[in-house]
Formats: sequence, structure tokens, C-alpha cells
Amino acid sequence: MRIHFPHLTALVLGGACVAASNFAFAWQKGFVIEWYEPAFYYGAEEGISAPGTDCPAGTNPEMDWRKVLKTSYRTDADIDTILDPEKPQRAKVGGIRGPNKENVYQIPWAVPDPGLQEVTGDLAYGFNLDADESTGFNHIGIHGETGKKGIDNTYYKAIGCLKAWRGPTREGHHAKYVNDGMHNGRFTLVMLISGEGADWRNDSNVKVGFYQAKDKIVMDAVGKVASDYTFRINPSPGYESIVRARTRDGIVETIDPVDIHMRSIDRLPMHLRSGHLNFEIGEDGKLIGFVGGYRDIDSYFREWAAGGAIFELTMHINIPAYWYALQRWADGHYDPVSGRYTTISTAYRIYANPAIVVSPTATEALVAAALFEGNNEPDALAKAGFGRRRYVPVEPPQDVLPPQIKPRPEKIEQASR
Amino acid sequence: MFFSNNRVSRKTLSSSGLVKSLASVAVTNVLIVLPIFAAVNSHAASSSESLAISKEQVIVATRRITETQYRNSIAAIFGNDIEINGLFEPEQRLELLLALGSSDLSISSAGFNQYFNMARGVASHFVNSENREHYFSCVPSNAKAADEKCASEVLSKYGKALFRRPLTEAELAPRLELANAGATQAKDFYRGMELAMIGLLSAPEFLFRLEVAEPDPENPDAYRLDGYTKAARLSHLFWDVSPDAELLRAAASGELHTEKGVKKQVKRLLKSPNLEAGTRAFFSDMLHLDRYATVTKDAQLYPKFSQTVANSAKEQTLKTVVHQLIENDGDYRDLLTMRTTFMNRPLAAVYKIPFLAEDGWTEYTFPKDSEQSGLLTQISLAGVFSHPGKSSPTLRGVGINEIFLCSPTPTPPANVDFSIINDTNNPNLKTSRLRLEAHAEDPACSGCHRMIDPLGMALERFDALAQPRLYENGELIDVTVNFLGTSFTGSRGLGEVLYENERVHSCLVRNVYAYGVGRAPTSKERNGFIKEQTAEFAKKGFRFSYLLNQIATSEKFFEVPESEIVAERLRARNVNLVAGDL
Repeated sequence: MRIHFPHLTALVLGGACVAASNFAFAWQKGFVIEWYEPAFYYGAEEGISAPGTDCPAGTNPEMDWRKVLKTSYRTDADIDTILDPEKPQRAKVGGIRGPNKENVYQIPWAVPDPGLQEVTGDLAYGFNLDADESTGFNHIGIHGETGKKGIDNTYYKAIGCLKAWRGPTREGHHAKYVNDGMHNGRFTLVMLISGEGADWRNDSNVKVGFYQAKDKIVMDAVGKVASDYTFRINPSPGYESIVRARTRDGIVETIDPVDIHMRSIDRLPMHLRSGHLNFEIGEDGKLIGFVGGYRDIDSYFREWAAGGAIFELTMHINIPAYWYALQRWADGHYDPVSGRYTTISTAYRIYANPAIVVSPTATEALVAAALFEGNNEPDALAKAGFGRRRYVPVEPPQDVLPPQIKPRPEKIEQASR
Repeated sequence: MFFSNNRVSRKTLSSSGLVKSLASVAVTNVLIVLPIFAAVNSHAASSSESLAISKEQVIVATRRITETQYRNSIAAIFGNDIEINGLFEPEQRLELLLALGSSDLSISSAGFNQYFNMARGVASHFVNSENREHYFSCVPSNAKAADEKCASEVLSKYGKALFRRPLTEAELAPRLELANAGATQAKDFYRGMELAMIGLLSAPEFLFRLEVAEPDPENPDAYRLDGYTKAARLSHLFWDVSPDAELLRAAASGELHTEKGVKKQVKRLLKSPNLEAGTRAFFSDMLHLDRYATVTKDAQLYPKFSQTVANSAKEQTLKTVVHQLIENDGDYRDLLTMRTTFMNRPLAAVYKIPFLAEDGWTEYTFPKDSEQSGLLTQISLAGVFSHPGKSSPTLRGVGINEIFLCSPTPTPPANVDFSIINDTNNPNLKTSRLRLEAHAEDPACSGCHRMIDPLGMALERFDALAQPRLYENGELIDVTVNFLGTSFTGSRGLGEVLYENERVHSCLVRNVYAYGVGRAPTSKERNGFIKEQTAEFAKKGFRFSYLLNQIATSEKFFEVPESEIVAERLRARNVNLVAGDL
């Protein structure tokens, strides 16, 4: 195959402005995400689970399996058998613990809220999604800068003390697990940022594309994600989106709320509604920053419930407790029919390296985010039934909700008050 | 007067002392190391008489076969499915080429151990019950006993392929004896054959190319290379492998002593797909691609560098060469300026270009305004001729001088002060160029650096891994160069200057000739034969295939070396010459 791409290469190397197709663009930058984790603030000075300003009691204690498995229909001997490491049965029956043998991974409300230690600190990463400075956390930026108020990140509030996620940036054990998986080829996420202005650092017409890629990440000689590799987009409905943004002094940011579709860190398509992004591109060409928005709590729940007992073991999370926490702290997209908020404010921290993003067939280098627009329909996979039928077959009946769950929770008050 | 035209006088080389000396060098070097080899080969190769040299013949050169020649020969004789695992003896670059060093190499005890183990692997495959039907042209009358007739048939066939000539009675007999003894002792015909095959594969006649001269019947006072030596020279130059059956037939028939016969074989060799293997071997040698075995990069500064990148970069260069010179039959000089090359995904990341293919390799042409200029800006030169942590105009200049201009650079004096060059944090000397210019102000250094550095300066917009760059430590890199009165800019300018340089053209001619005959041309040859061949090469549009053709069909290619050359080689091997040997 003989392929010549002089103008594209010039662009890749920071060269001239070239018009392609019917979309005018002046510059583009491709990236491969090399680290991706919930934007949780760690308030302790050492370790990954010490008591800190975020979680004064430290991380959530690990689940007492003997206690959660104790039901009217199980004897202590039955529990011994289930927990016998020689004959592991937990994955098979670990979820059967409702009073009437309900599977709590499917019907978490079958048991009372086991409770979670929640974040009580006042600092959080993220965005002021509701444009209301009177509610939410105080802001902390990627470099530790503070000053802004009204940061909406109740997902952090709900599970920020969870052992799986807690820890300094890039140190939480579940973040390490999923990012190691990404580095080992489980999935690849790329971004393409392009603009129309002459100065990429200050451009009012910018597009940011999020995609999955077919090609695996390559690790370099020092065990980090290698830069400048080529990645083919893997068209993935529900996992990709193009959002409008701008650059100011080299910071890529959204102007108005946008819907962002990308792969969640734990596998499912992630739809961040009324979202924002804020990225900083350094002189070395690397990108760091955040994406945030409101995510469907059902989607969050299904993602972990799918892991069942294995997730409960490795993430040290009681799945029903997670469900109750999501219900408790949901703060977006009120549904007047059910009388509940359906989404929860959240944010993710992203680190990305310069990369070259090419078309799905590898026949051309993509020179602008808009040149590849896949099926961005928000619920394409959900409509296809992906992940729904198995884990949440019915809506939770209101009458089984424990009394401590507020069907219409107030938005979180600023914790410092 | 010892010389007569191109042939050495018979009086200059007597077989009695010379052959025995050379044979003992080769044989004792390998025999002293492994008792097991001695056991296997004790009958076959225990004395100089085992070398098939008649009293009339003389060995004029011994050249240890290279790793690729070994592998290619085994594959050609036994098939591609034989796995050869082992460490080959390090090669030695002499007078710019490994091929010349091979004429000066022996085999160490550790090295022979490796060859012996590889021989065991091949022999084991050879007699394996699943394979023997394929290899053996006969079936023993009793598989649990010796069968001299069948053993003789098989050993003769494979011995001829391995030794590049038929085995003599003296060579065959002890190997048959070994096969028979082994079969009888093990009660297994094939076990005996395995031992005999190990002996053949470990024999100096296989591991070394013994170039033999014989009396020239047309000129009784002179010598000529024997037909089998000519066949081996041709096959190793064109295909990097032992002669095939057709070449051995031509050698046996005497056709290779005729101009017509040689031309016929050269034409056949040129048309074969095996020409790619020969071309790869030659350019691997000429372009110093063996340096990849030891090249390293600072992982913190050049984290993209890996063994995969090194292997890919070597392959990229060879693919580029083969594409231009063999597939396109193009102009050799274009290798210094062309923008078309081959990419895989890791390399594309290094060169910072899109990799637009599903997988594997794809042809890629850099844009016209890129600074890429053929082999000069590939990792094989710009990256390999750099330090682990920084680029080096000096190393690159040395590389260009040696590879493309055949101009070796003397080693620097032991007391050179490199402190200025190594201080990459000097705020006043931010670029390699500035640091080198400051260093070269020392009169002790300036003489050499003036000849070396400018060529490398032109490549400074490529870092130590050949990644494109414009700045070093924030300073725009200046790539304007004045080299011996010629001004040019950057890698493209360098490529164009070298493209036109006649020394570049004659350097290739010199290298092809030296590679083929196993010795560097004398000054007389440089001023005569090489110049003539260079002019002819130019007339033919600098096409490599024509160059191979014209060199291989020249009388010079089969000329018996002059006695001084032979004597020098013998002295280098510490062979004591006896009065009358020369």
C-alpha cells in the first residue's frame, strides 16, 4: 500500500494550516488518554487510606461477609462453606442475601442501607455544574489552586471514602487496577482537539472529540505510556462525542454545558449530561485536566453490580450500600414522575499524551474532531438493552425504600458551612 | 619476479608448508576445545591431511562464514523449518567491512561450543523420524545396524552442499567409519548418521570458506582460483549463501573458468529472488547495521527506544535499500536523498508521523518540505551514530565518512578534554553545535573535527533517536554548513552534496569489490580497477545490479591475491612461514 500524506504530516509536525473536507480548521492535536480516574480529593498527608480532612475516619471499613451473609435461611455452617477459600462460592451466591433470597445485585433495596462513610471535607475537584455557588464544595484545581465555590461532585461526596478509590492522585488502588488494564491493552481512549483560529492557545471555535481506539497503548522504556503513536478510531456508539469548546491561554474549556459521551473507567458508555471540560496542554504536548457532568445513577450502579461479589471483594464496597448512597446523593435531572433525581454530579481526572489519531480504516489521518462523527446517540446501547436487563429488571418500588432515603434529596450544602 | 599478470607464480606458494599450517590453524583451533567434538570428529578431521587440498593446490584465504551465511546455508540445504539457536562469534570490522574482518577471524573455544550445539540441533532434526524420509534418499537395509552404502550416499550429498565442493575419499572415509561405529554401538543407523552429520556441520571446511588456488593449465607458472572457490565467491556475494547445485555443477564442469560460464551464472544469480538476501547482507555490513546489537539510549530521555524500535529501524533501512536497488533497480545515490521509506507503528511514533496501515509495514513518503533525506536521517545513521543521551555531530560525521566516503577516522587521542561537549546544561552553549565549536577551538582537536563535524552538524535537527526537532535547549538549531569550501544547509543539503560526490560512488564500488573478494583493494587497484569500475557504474546510472554484474564478471574478481597479501594474513595468524613457502 502506498500512501502519501504530505499535508497531514505537516500538520502533525505543527506545520501549515490546511483545509480538509468542508470543515475549516487551523490546528489539531491528538491525544491518547494515559490515566483516567474519578476526580477525588485526598485530604490526608500520607498513605492511601489514612484519616484526613476528606474522610476523618479514614476509608470505609471492609465488608464483614459473615455478617452480610447471615440471613434467616443460612446457618453459620452454610456461611462457613460459602467463605471456605478452598471451595469458593462467593461469586455464585454472594448476592443472595435478601430476606426472601433476593439477589441484592439486582434488587439492592431488598436489604436495609448498610451505610457508607461519606466525605465530610469541603474541597473537591470538578465543576460548578448548576452555576450556583451557594451549593457544593469549595474548588481545588489540578495544581492545588483554590478559591472558586459551588463545585458539584456529589459522587465524590457519596463514595469518596471508599477504599477502592481513595488515595492521592494516581494512587488509588482501583484506579491503578483499571489504568493498568488500559495500559495492558484492555481498552484505549483517544481525543482529538481542533480549532479554527490562528493561535491554538486562544481560539473561540474549538472541537474536542472523544473516541475509543482499536490500537493498544504502547508502554515506553520507563513503563509509561509512549507518546506519538498512531491510533485508529474504533467507532463505538455511545462511547464517543464531539463537544464545542474554546481555548484561553492554552486552557481548553467548555463555554456552555455540553453532553459528553465517552467510555467510563469501568467499562460502560458514560453519558455526562450538562457537562464541562477543562484541559491544560503543557509545553511537552501532554494534557491534564477534568471532564465532569451529571451521570445517570442507574448506569453507575449497573457498572458495579455487574461485578457482583468479585467487585464487593476487590473494591471493598457493599453493593446495596453503593445503591443507597447513589440514591441519597443524586442531585441532577429531577424526574417528576418518580419524584427522584436521576443523575449525580461527578468529575474525572484525565492525563493524556500526544498521539496521532487516524480514521477507523487507517486510510487517513484525522485532522479535525468533526471529520469523524460516529453514532453519538446518547442511549444507543441502552436502547439496545446493553447491561439493563440483567441487573435492574424492575424499578424499585417506593414502598420498600428505607425511610432514611430522601426521594428528593436537597443538593449538598457546602460542607464548610 | 614473483608475479605473472593476475596470477601468483607457483613458485611463490608451495602446498607443503602453507596448507598444513592453515589447516592446523583451523583444525586445532576447534579441536582443542571440546572433547566431545574430538570424539565425533576424531577420524574425520584430526589432521591437516583431512583438508581436501591436493599437493598442487594452495589455500589463499580462509574466511569464517557469518551468522547470516550460516543461517542461510542451513536453510538452503536443510529447509527453513530448522530452528537455529545459539550465539555466534562476534565479528570484526576491518578496513571498514566485517567481510574483511572475517578473513582474519578464528573460532574461540566458547564459540565452537556454540557451533557444536547448533550442529547437534541441525543433525537431530536431520535424523528425526518425522524428517528423515525427506532428507534421506535411501533407506538402510536394517535400521538397527550400519549401512555403509546408504550412509555414503547421504553423507556425500550433504557433505558436498556443506563443504561447497565434493568430499574427497579422505574426507568421506572417516565420517563413514564414524557413522558405522555409531550405528553399531547404538544399534541405530540414524544415530550413527547423526554423529557423522554433527561432524560435517562442525568441520572447519563448513565454518570457514577455504579459498583454494590451483595451477592454471593455461599458464603453468601461475595460479587461478579453483572452480568451487569461484562458485562460493559468487554465491556469497549475490545470495549470501553456500553455492547451490547449479553453481557446484558449473564449478565441476569448468564453466566458471570461462567468461561465458561466469556471465551465465551471474545472470542467473541476479535474476533470483535470493538476490535480496545478498543485498541485505552486503548493506548490513557496509552500513554498520551490526551496531544495533550494542546501541543503547537513555531511557529517561528517549523512552520510545526499545529493542522493538531497534529491530524495526534496522529492517526499515534494509527495506529501503532493497526497494530502491532491487525492486526499483534505482539509482544508488537516491538512497541519500529519497523521501520514500517503510514504516511500522513503533517507527512512525519515533518519526512522529501517522501510521496509516492496519498492521505490519507500509510504504511511506515524507512530504517534500520535510528534512528527511534518505538513509542519512534514518535511525540507522542519525540514531545509531549518536550518544545514548544526546546527538553527536562528530559520531554522525565519522559514520558518514566511513560508510559513504570510505574514509576511516583515526581514534581520538587518549587525553582529550570532553568537558565542554558533555556539559549540556551550559547556558551559553545550548546546542551541540556551539559546544563542539568551542571544543574544536583546541588546536589538538580542530584538525580532525574540521573534517568530521560539518557533515554531522547538518543532521542536528534530528535528536539522538532521529526524532525531528527544531530546537535544542530552547535554541533554534543552526544547520548551515561549510565543508571544505562547499556550503549547504541541513540534512537535505547534505544529501544532495553526497549525491554528487564521486567519492561516494567509488566507495560503494570499493566496498562491493572488497566484500566479494575478502580483501581491501591495494592502492594500485584503487587508482586503476576501482576508478574504472566507478566510471562504468556511473555510465549505467549508478544501478547496483549493474555494479554487481560488472564486478563479478571482471577478471579481478577471481584474481589470486598477491603473495604479500597472503603472507600478511599468515603473519596475522601467527603462522610461521618456512623459507621456501613464499
